[in-house]
Amino acid sequence: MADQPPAGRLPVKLHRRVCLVLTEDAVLAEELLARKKLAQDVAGRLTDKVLLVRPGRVEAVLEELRRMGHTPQVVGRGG
Amino acid sequence: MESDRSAWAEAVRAGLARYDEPLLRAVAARLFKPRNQWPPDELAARAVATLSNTPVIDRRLKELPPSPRHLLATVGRSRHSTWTVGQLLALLGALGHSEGLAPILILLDTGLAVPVLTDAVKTLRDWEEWLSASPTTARLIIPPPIADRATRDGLPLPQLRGKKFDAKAVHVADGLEWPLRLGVLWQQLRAAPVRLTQSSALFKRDLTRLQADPLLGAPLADQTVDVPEAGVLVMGMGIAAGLFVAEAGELRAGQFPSAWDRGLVPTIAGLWSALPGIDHWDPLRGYLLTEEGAPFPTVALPALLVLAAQPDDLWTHPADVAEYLLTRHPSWVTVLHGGADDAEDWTEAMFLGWALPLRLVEATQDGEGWWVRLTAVGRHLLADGPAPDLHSPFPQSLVVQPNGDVIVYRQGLTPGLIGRLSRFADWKGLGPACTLGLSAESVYRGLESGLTMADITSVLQQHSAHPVPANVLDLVRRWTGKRERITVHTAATLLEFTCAGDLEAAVARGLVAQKLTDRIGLAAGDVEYRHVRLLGNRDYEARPQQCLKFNPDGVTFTVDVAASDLLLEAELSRLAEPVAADNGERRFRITPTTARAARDRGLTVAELDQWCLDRSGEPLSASARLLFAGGGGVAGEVRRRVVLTLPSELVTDGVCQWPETADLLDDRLGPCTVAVAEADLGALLERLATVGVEVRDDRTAPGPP
Repeated sequence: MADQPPAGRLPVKLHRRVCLVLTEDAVLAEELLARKKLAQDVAGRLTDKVLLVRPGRVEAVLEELRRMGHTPQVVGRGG
Repeated sequence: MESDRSAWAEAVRAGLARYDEPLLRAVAARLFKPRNQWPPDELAARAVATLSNTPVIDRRLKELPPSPRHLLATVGRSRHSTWTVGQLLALLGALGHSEGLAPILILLDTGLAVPVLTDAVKTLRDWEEWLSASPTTARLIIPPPIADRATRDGLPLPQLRGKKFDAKAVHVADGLEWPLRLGVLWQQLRAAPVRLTQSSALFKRDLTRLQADPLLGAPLADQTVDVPEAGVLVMGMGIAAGLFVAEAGELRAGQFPSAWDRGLVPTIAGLWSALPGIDHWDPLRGYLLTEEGAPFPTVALPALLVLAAQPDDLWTHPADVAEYLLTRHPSWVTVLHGGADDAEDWTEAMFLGWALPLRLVEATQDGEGWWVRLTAVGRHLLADGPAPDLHSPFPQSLVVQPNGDVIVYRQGLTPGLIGRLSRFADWKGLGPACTLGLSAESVYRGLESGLTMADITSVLQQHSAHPVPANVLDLVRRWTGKRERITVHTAATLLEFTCAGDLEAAVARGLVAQKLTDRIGLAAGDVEYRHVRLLGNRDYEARPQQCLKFNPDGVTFTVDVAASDLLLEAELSRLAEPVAADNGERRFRITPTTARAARDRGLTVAELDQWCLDRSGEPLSASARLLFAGGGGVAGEVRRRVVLTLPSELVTDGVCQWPETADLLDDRLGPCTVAVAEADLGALLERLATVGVEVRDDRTAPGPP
């Protein structure tokens, strides 16, 4: 698809280097937000399953998720 | 080290680029005799190309005196191209050459060696200037094509007395001891990195950790000698082999070298080539910290080359090798406290404790003690012997138990399998049969290292002698599935479209990998700018941008949509409520209700003030502060007062200052007005009259109709 010539350029706003937590369902997102230490690093909720992490706090969020017993898939850094 | 051997051309090019032009022309003239006056860049490029030109290399090598030629051959045998000057001087000494720096300077002059320059050196004018800063720790690179060609001429090494006999028991290792321990330490570094001092030494706590670790210090499968502080040796090997990476003062687990997947011989070759980097370990003393590095690499290399110079079937006594090297090596004696006896012990410990487990040598014993000779792998690496076939005949070497433990029989173990198992199972025991354990954490580690669930289960199934228990496969499936529940993007790119239709179009064009809202999607890889017209571009690791404009009322503000970001949306939902705007603008207002809710959630006035500064460039307005902070806990007061208006500001200043009248005043209300308690008004008017200030009392005058 990407190789086809574009039908028109889509107006878009680019948000770069955003830290996000994507959950499987809304209940899990609620569970995460109920954790006080994690909630303070969450800037907001983009949707019921997508949490926006404060800049520079992603490592703290990962650490807290692991402390909660979760095994998050990390995208965007070397394994 | 494979990266070391493939990256040489770039390192040489970088070194030559900083040569001063006269030096570069002089070196190039000796290396390939240029026929034209090429510019420096082209001259450097042609010099690099010449270093791979075999006929020219052979001509240059033939012109060299014996000592630099022997040094090149020794470096060639090491399969390592970067050395310190101190190490090269030690190697020259061990080979019996006592000309000091001269052979190294000849290699530099002829372009057959190039300095590895630090950032401090901008332009290199001559070798003396370079060496004066750090005479022995200065590093240089010897291109592998040069060193490899030099090995054809051989080395002037002696024929030792040796012995031929029918050995009753020959100790030969499987070559997996060090890969296994490297796998163990790799797992430990994944869990907690080792901290390094500025000089790459260990802190006490980490040294103790390496010394006390039961797996790293576990007895070798065929233990012939104690290996002091094997954990430190393993760490040194791992760093030198590129498996562990020092970064910002910490040692972290890197990627397993690709050689491990190619088999045992390439793995042993890789670990052999890592020898010059093991400079904090000694075969007798273990962890050894010296400014110029432990002499281990520069003694072990010529010691093995001495073995390579002996006939295949001859056993050599370590004492004979020690005797040959002791009088020649310039710095070995600094770590030998007991002279020749210590040298013999040292050599024996090096052969049996490091080279035997690496499968470079095999050993046997008789009444005179230990005897060693090169293995087939050792002959391949050090004496151009044929590459032995070490292919494992037992690929099914695992037994997976229902409790998640995995038993691995060494006959079927390969470095590649060690690497893969290290990624997703925890080593629990090393021996003729090794034990690992599967757990949620270990499987998670495997997934984080890039493996998939299919990779993990296929390794278990392919190498298992019996079917893998169904409950274990189920556990692995469940653990990997658990990981799918939460995905953390550390630096995602989001595309925000103006309408849902554009987002759908972007999905169709493959620009968006996942829709997050009806207008926002997760970018699929790099953004293809030919498909989009940028309305705004926000970097979330940069400072927040100013994107709000407050109205004069101090509580209503408008959002600059092009400059705003997603964080703002979240912030706004906590602070303000939307207000209808006629012209399509996004307008919000702080109300007593939203202010109270924000305060109840713990937002302080100071934080709000900072937010206003970040987002609008202005401090928190008085009205917004009023909504958030109220009266600050101090109660107001309602009182009945008379307002006295005086003729001028100057007169009012005087009345406020003169003690006779000031004592009767309440508050000053303005430039010419003061408040007075009704009870004090009479006395005040009397005192004003005494100084000539007339006041007309309007309180009884009729009001406007």
